[in-house]
Amino acid sequence: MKKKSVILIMLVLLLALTIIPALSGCNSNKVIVLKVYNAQDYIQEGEDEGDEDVLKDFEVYYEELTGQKVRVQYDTFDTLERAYTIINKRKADYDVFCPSDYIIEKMKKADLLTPLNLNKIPNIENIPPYLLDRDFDRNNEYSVPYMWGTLGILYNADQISEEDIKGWDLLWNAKYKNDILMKDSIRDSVFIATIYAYREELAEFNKTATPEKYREKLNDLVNNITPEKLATVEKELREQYNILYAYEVDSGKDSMINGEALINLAWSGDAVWAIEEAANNGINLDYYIPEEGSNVWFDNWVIPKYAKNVDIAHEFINFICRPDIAVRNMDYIGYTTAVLSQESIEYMTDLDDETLATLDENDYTYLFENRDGVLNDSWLQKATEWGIDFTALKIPEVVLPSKDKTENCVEMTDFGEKQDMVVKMWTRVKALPLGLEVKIFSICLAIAIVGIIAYSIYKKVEKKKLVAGKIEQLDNGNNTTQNNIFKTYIQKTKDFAGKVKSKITNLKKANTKTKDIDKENISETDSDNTQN
Amino acid sequence: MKKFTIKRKYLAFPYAIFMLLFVLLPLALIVFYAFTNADGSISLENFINFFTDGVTFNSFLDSIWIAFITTVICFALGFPVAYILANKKYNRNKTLFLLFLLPMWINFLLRTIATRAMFEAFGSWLNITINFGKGTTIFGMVYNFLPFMIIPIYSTLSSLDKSYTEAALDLGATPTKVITRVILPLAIPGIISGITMVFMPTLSTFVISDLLGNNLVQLLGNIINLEFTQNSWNYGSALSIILLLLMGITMFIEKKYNNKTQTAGGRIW
Repeated sequence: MKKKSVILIMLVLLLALTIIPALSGCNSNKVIVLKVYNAQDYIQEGEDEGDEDVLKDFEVYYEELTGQKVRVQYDTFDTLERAYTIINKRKADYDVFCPSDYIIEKMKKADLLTPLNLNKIPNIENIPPYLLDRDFDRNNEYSVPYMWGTLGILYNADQISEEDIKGWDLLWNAKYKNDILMKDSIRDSVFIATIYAYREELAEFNKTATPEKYREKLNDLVNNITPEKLATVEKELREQYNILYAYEVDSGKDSMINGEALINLAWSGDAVWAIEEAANNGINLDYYIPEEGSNVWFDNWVIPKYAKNVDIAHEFINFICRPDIAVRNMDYIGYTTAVLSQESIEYMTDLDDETLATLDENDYTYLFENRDGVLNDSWLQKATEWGIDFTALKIPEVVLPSKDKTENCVEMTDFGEKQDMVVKMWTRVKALPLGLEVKIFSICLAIAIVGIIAYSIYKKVEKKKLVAGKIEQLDNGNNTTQNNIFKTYIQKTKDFAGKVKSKITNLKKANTKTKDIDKENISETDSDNTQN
Repeated sequence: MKKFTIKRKYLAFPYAIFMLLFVLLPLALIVFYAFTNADGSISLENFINFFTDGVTFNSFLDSIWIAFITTVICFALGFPVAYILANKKYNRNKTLFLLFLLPMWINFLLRTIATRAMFEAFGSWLNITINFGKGTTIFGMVYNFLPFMIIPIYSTLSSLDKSYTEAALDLGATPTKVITRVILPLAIPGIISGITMVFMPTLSTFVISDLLGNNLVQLLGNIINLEFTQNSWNYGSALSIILLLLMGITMFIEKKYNNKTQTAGGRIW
């Protein structure tokens, strides 16, 4: 008997041994798997055979470069917070990851990143100084920009009247009740609501301040959350809750394209896509960055701490920064690439006459400024080589924000230890107002529960009392006829119970005997079988 | 050779291992997280927060209320359907029953998304604006969980001895009285399991309220989801435990009641 169980255990182990390698995807023909972790549809992927595909091109490129076969495994996440949790708590071994600025900051604090060797990423020179060396990652120690953009309002230009288009007020305009969409993303919504809540103070401050001072003030306002500030923001968000059509993260674009909603807080890249799609539907969408200031965000490539193929990851990031690849990605996704080249600027300025007529010429030389506002000479030289005059370009705001808009844009930082406080506030914002029917129902429920418990206790006590009373009566020897009947009744039941008990034990004895005989029979036949 | 028998209990080993790894271990982790705070020290603060933060408890009441309404509507719609289905006159070869089962074979998420699309389509055809919120959420829940009410009642009713109704009719009961005094009491075990099968999943769902409530309806399931995605696993676990406890109590009551009715041999009130 023992032997067979040993065999069984060995079988199970054998099965496990064969399954585990198959699950972990270890291939014997030495193809290295590069695990890329990114948002869905956030890189050019070919749907059919023969379509352009950045990931496949990288596989070919890398094999030509080193002779090493690489397979790119593209995994996607739905929210950055969840992706962060997966890398942090599950120690997922992704080689390349593409988070936003505030997550990079958070990962840096939690020591979840591998420092980059920028010598291995020479193509970083294609990225203009404005996008490098930002607050969340000084000297680009850990990250290389991929896409960037702003946060603004996407609105239906056919149905929103011109005079309402000013500042963040549009998202709080009760005239458009049940037509407004807000992001179901705590970080973005709180950011916007803070600017809206303090818009008067900001406007007052802006009258006298320089752009740098204003930006400093704004940064302090949105990134330095205090309980008092949060209370004000909560009030505004709660007010907005009552006029919203929906909170959304991804579905807002579709609602705007269908004309289901009219106003949407949107990331610039999403807006580009929505404007294009809506035009096919005959709906006129437009995008603007409110003048009070907004958020400028960066999605950068990083190499997480648990990465296994750090060298290939560097090569991958370098490949993505190539001008031709950058344009292909931009064309596919719709977001603005961080790579500035002749090709990408030509792509951005390639517009039809109708749109060109509506656009103003803007100065985009701010892209060549470093964090101290000093223009980079080599970039100016590059621009003259390309023959592009960056001081007067016509590019839609949604693709590339103009200088006066970016002057009022700041980055987001992580909430840090205030996270719990903000999440609590968010649940309060989204709480359903406790209706009268719910109140009445809960009171009734509470009464019912208490009633049932009380009643069952009462009944038990009563029963005990009754029995106790009866026994007492019997003991007192009250020989009334009723008591005599009761006595004999109890005696009879006791006798009966005794009889049943003895019968049961007898039966049990008999049963075990027959069982033993059966067992012997079975094991005998069994051993016969095995001998055969 | 030595005597050897393969015992039947060995067949249960694979599932026992599965249970251990994927049910008991996660449950132990949830309990661990629920009774610790963010620093990892043991505390009851998560449970105290549940009652004192002013939101979660209200959402909890809201969840119970919505689950209650859903169950009542499901019962009101489901009992007559089950009654008709159990009647062999209408449900020959069980084709009609199969038709009621069919929607359950479609994935529940797909059904919910389709419900949304239907609402949008009706809205544009009839030219009315449908406000997604509490109402549509309850609709989606009823639509999704109605089969769970019909099936248990149907199976109880179809195994019912017809002679009870005949006897009641012979003894002069009106048809309504037959239903209220004979069939309904005899169907109690089915009704109770139907109620628990509808009530418990509606209590914890968050996908339906997200999709059909436009993220504006915040139930306890949504809060748990939020807490887990926002990295505060401790509070989320505590809420899960509370939900689990409530389900346990519901199950316990159901079992107690069902046992009673069975030992009495399907007795009438």
